[in-house]
Amino acid sequence: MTTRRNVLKGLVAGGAATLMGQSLFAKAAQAATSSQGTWHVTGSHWGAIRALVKGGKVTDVQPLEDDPYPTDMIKGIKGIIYSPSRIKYPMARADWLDNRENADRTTRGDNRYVRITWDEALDLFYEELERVQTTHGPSGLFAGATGWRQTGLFHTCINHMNRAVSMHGNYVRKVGDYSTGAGQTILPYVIGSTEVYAQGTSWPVILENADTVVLWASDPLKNLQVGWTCETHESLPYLDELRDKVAAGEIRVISVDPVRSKTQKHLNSEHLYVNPMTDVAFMLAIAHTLYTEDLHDKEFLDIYSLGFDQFISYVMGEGEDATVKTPEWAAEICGVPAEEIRSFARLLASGRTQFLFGWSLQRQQHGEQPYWMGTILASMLGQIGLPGGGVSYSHHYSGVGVPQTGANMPGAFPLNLDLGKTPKHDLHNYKGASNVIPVARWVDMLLNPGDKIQYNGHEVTYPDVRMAVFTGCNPFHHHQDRNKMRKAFRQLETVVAIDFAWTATCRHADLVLPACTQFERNDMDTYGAYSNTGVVAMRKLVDPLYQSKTDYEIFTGLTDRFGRAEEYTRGMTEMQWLRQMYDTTKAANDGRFEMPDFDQFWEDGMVRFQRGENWVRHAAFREDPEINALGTPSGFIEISSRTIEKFGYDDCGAHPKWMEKAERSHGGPNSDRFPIWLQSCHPDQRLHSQMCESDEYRATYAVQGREPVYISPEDAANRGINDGDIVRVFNDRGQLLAGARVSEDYPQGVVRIHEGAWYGPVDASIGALDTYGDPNTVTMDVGASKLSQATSANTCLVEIEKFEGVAPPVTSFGGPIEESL
Amino acid sequence: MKDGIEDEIALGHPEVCRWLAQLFLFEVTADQMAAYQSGAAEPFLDCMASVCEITEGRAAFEAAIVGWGDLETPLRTVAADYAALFLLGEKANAQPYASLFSEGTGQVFGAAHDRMVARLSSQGLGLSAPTNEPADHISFLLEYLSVLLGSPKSGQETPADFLNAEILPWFDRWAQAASRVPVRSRFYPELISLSQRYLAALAKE
Repeated sequence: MTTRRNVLKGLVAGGAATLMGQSLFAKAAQAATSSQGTWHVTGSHWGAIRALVKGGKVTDVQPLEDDPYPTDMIKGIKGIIYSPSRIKYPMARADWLDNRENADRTTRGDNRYVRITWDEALDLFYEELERVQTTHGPSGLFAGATGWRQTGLFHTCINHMNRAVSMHGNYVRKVGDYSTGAGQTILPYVIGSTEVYAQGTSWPVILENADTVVLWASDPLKNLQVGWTCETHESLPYLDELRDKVAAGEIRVISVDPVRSKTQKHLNSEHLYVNPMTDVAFMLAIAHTLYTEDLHDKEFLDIYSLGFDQFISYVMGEGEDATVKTPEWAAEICGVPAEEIRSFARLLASGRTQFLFGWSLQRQQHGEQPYWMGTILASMLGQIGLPGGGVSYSHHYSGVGVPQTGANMPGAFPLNLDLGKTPKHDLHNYKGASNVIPVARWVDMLLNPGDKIQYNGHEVTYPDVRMAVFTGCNPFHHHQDRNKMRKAFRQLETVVAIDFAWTATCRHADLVLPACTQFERNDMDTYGAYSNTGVVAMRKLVDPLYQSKTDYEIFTGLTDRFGRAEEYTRGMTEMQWLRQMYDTTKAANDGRFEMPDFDQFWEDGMVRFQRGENWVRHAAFREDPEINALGTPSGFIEISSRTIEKFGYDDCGAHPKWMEKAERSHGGPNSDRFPIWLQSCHPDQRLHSQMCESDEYRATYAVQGREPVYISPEDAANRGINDGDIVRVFNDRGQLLAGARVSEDYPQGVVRIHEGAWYGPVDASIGALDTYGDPNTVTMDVGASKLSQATSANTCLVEIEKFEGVAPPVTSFGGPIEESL
Repeated sequence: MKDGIEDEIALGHPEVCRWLAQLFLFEVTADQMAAYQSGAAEPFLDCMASVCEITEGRAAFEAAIVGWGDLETPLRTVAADYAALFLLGEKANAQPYASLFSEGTGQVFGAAHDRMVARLSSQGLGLSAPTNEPADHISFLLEYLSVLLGSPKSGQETPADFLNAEILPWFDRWAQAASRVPVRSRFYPELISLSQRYLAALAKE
């Protein structure tokens, strides 16, 4: 190969030199790297792991040796770190960069971005906060949407955003969440706490004492793979014990569910099919049987509850609807034969019965009602507070039911301003609008500023929001009705998104800031969100990729722009914070739980505490309901609620009722046009939308590169659909492509697409076909009721057809792709 | 150097490769844009033309540069093209990593990156660009090719060997991916096209 060179002179040489720049290489000392690499312990939603770091790269990820039930999902972790969907640099939407609030917003989601420097990005972020605060006041900024973030107590991004933005000014916040919005609103009125996030009766107690366990729309084997903090998977072996007891005939487990769940199949337990969204009718008929056959515990109801008479009058047809809620009445709605309803009711009353409710059940229109009914049935059985009896709404979540050690856990980075501090712009004029919005209604807020809604006994007035900030949160995954969302996003003048991967939320943002992943920063986490089994050191595995930064660095940079960085950081580095957090915990546990000093902990990677004591939920209340009164208005279980009755809502009254849904399969409203119920529950192979970008792992479950839609053999055959086909799922709200998985686990009229599938429309138009299979392209965005205003994602009917022709390529991953040229 | 202008420079294949490396790693600056519009790319194109037929591609490339004058905001437009091509997108776009196109894992920082790190390390080199990009980014591969071309050593991997091992096996697929990315200016597509022809020719030199 020749290397002939021409000698250029003068201006030509100067011009050429300008174009060649500096060498991209520099002399470097040869790093003394072990060819074997080094294993480091860290934590994650998917459990504690050991990661092999070799040559500055994570090359292998294995579960910690004592993880009793590692999840397959850890295979996707490398794909998160090294995903081509990573946001590499601060990016700005080109049109917005030139025109800011006057930019064309109709092209959001299908637009052009340019790389900018971190200084430029943080200047822009700050300038926009200034503009909005000084022009529109605190009602112009929404920074309230949050969601599952990466794990780590110090770097928890929600806290960093709240603290930093709060130092600048006030803003519109959210209340509630998408997971449990209806449940967490109704249950405090009924049984005194949200219950959905409460520790439950210990699994050993249930295994020892329960005769019957009812898994009501609950699939713990699927959902316990992940945890809010570093998951221990300690609860999963209890499911194996339960399976053994089922096999030995010692416990009956009945899964009440339209679908044969992963847990039901694992336990080899019984399945009781109920038509989708008709559980309340089924439950009312159970109540009718318990009452008419004198199987209810009158003494318990007298001592521990209020309002049974009002409720049972409704059941017995003495209410406005003059309908007796007999099993025959319910059978027409719920699809369970009347005699089977009676048998089930008798079974529940025949021994110790533990109800374990899942969360999908309350993510529907009138989602408060089945949860309320759950407490009522458990009360009628008189078993609340007994070992192996009563009701739980959380055993499928984050290791609830694993005995708690009682040890103190480290705190998190502060969420709020320090005591006595006020924002730079301490403005409180929300222009007559509310400063807190029920979280699932914020899209309505954007579309309808000034409108008023009822919420949990209050009136909420939607503010006129101009700017939104999202961090570690992907509303284009967890909110409903994508096409409505896209319209709403066009109302926003400025959207700032901070994340490590190009989610659809980032693709609809104006300013996109690259956070690093949790594997690129030092942190620590609670090991076992409810068990408090230990504390895990989350040692940084690799340096932040590209130009990504920790949230701490990002918001330090932001607060520095208005002179509050020192206050934000309290003058401490990342490692100083971690040391302080650990030392504080060690001091709090002094004399009760032994902890090594920080350096030893950091070296060991973990400190564990001795196993906790078994515990029974609501046992204290049962023992003395006066001293240990519940948090309800009366202190007792409220089978009917005067407080809610006074709100006067037509969709959530004094006691649970059967209410028809806006759309319902199996003969319900709109089923003549769209006959199939779409269930969009938690995925089996990712955490919400986290890990969907992990290409290699996604390939293990995707069908022709699309998210699977699980469909019954009957529905598939009726539509000429074969397993592995690409299908179009659609209704009046939207359309998506998915890959058909034909499965006997699904009854006719029921399909499932797991939530968290990344949205990838073919273009920016409203109604555009989603190319990957995000179920929220077609779900309904209405509040569950005026009480909770929670998500109603599972009230959703669709039709499905085989997709003919050449399917458009998937556009969900890798960031914005301009399709409109 | 005097008055900020280098008055003499030797330009051959090493310099062309470095030029390409810079173009694929950083957006065109205002100064560079002005230089291109004054014909500063000519020596590089001449050098390319010395090993392969690029008449049509050169004309298209130069026309793209002339076309900047018709753009309302040429710097922003070309930067957005750059982002769409090289910073964004997954399979549909053209992130310029060997791992992405040559290993089926769907991950960056793959084996191609490892091999480049090892090559550099063995020569006491590391990446100096403040990007934290993987070492199998096309720009680092081109820079390394430039080094090989500029200081051939006996017993060392030849430029042709390197090209055949690390660049050419995936370059065509990358170029094809890039051709599908919507752009406003033909500058980068024509540059990739020229590079494709040039590198293939260089491997045969």
